[in-house]
Amino acid sequence: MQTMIRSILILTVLVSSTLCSIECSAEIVKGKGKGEIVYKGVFKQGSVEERAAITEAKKNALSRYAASFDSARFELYQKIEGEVVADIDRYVMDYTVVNQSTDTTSRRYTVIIEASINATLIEAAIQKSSGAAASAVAGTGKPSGESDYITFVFVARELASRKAFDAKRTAVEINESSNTGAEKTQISDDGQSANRSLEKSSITKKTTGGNTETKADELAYRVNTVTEVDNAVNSVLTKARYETVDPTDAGLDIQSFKKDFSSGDDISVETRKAATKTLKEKEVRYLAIANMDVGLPDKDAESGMMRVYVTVTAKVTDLKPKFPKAIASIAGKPYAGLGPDAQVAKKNALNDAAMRSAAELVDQLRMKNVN
Amino acid sequence: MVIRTKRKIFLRVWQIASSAILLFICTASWGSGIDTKVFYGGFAFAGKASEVEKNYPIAVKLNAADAQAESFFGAQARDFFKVNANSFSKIDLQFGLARPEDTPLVLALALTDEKVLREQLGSFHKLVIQLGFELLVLDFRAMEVAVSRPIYIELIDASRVSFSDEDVVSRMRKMIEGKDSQLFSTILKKAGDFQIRGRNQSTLQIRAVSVGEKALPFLPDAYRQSTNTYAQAIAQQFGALLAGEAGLAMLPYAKDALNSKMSLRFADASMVQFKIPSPTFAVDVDLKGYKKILDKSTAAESLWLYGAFLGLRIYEPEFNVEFFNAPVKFGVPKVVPASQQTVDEFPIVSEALQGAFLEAIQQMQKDKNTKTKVLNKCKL
Repeated sequence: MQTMIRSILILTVLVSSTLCSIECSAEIVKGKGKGEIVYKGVFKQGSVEERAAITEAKKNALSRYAASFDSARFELYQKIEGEVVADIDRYVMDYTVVNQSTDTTSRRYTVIIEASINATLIEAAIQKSSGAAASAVAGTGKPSGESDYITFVFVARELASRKAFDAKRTAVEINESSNTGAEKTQISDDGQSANRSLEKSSITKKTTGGNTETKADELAYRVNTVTEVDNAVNSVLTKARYETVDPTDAGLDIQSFKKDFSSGDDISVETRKAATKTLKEKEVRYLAIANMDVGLPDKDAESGMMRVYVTVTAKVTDLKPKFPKAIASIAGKPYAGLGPDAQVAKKNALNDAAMRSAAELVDQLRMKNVN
Repeated sequence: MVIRTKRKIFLRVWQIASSAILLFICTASWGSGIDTKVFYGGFAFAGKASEVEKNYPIAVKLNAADAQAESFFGAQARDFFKVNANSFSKIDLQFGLARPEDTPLVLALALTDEKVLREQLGSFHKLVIQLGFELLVLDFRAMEVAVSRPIYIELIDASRVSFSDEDVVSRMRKMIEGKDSQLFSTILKKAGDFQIRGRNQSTLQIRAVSVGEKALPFLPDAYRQSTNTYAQAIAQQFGALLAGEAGLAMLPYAKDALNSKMSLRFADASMVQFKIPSPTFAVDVDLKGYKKILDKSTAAESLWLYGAFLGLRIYEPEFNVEFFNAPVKFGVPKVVPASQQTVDEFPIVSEALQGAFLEAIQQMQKDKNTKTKVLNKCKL
């Protein structure tokens, strides 16, 4: 009877876990890997050597998969690589043997596999290893102090007007003139008479020059915050287990940010000082600021749809040190969005730019163990 | 004692039953795709949106011919799939609006190739229409091509007068209109085998097609001037045979190996781009050339033999492990009456090429290494 109860329990657990695994739909990526091992004696299928070669192939598949990460993410992966490799069967869910060969002369067994890599689990491991998650897992449920809060101001701006200045030309002309003369006296051979002649010449020198002063165009932007962008950034930061604070709740004057970005590429000293003071008072440690320049729409040749580029410049500042320190940044990275009309394309570009730039900032923060 | 034995038997039966239930659940979740819900997505033109009219000039004309709200291809395809949904016995084909929570899989019929060759041979005019389609299952979650089934149809016609665009449109209409048309009868024949490949199902992709100089004299002008266009037709034809004759899981041929994406423009003008996943195995086709020799000649007629010569390589593309590399040739006879002044050689070499492809498939199946290491793994 106990056996039956046990088997019912096992069955229930397995059924629910199988159904759960179907429901959870982890992201599985396919990747190939090669493993090679030198064996002793005679090679046998199912031997320890074969298993070792397959493990090598799984490791190789993971390395090749990780090689596709950007530099920040790859560095984060390297931190957890040991942990992943130690428990490789969790991360490589299954595999199929693409080819295997045995070289009896060199006693070498080579296997190529196509592995199913659980990308979601690797992402979770990266998150777990990063500071934000580590502190959350440590039992507080949130970062170890209020200083771990992060707030962000992501503004989108479009060119509203462009004031172009004509080149200012200053011309200078210097005129100099001088007269020179020479007197010649010629005495006749008998010494009785003399001829005197006078040669005169006049020189006029004209120097022209000057300078042309060109003034950069005066650009005025229409700046606004976009709810979808805020939600997208919030989602990325929250998923990465950062404690986000709404900038308004943090006491930031969003209007001053908007005003600064309406005419320049950075916030003014006054706005920065005020923001730093307010956030320090509220013990919000990190401030992320990004301006997203929305370009003019054009037609995408591939899809025939409207395309809008959004260029993101972003910076995360750590406000805890005596002098605020930039700890992560993105310099003018373009993201494209497509849509049936310019408005949809713009919305898609902004959302994509927000998600991807926030993810890149998160990777940079994790690399620096920022929690 | 009897009670004990009964209990033992009961426990044993229970253990076997529970194992069977488990096995069923596991195979159902990772199985071959039986009863996998797939929503019907419509008809699409493959390739850049801006080049649809350039790539499919006749099909676009035909599509817009019937001044109806729905396009010709869209209406034909929808009607066919609606009526024959049950013939696709290995998928659960649904119509209506797909919700993301239902399934990310969508069935689409895409036109990938249109070739219209018009030639004057002596006193008659010849028309060849070659159409390449892909029956696709698209995964909208991963934005990937999940299943691809190449379909290749051809029509050859001759007339004393030249073929106008309207004539070509009308011939193409016949190839596509109705369930008994060339296109839909071909699809219907394969419907029962059409299925979603399993997660660990290996795939095969035609990666590269090269056309040798010795093939050029036998090709129509359009192909001679653009061998890439002919290469596309070859890939389409061989892909259709590999899927149809050998039952292999194929991935679409990408003209540009670096750009492994497939753009589709649907009837509602929406444009979606899908990634073609990396294949497990790849095939390179090298059409070395065509050759003709005079076998017999009498006063009344001559017997010519036309041969197609191929080089075929099957390999694992990432580590470059080769499984099959062999030349393949196939010949077809052609009797030419002495009274015939000109011979249209393209249909004859096309027949030889078709024979060479079938011969290649046979050779691949006979080769134990290729069969066990590649074909069996790619078999649907």
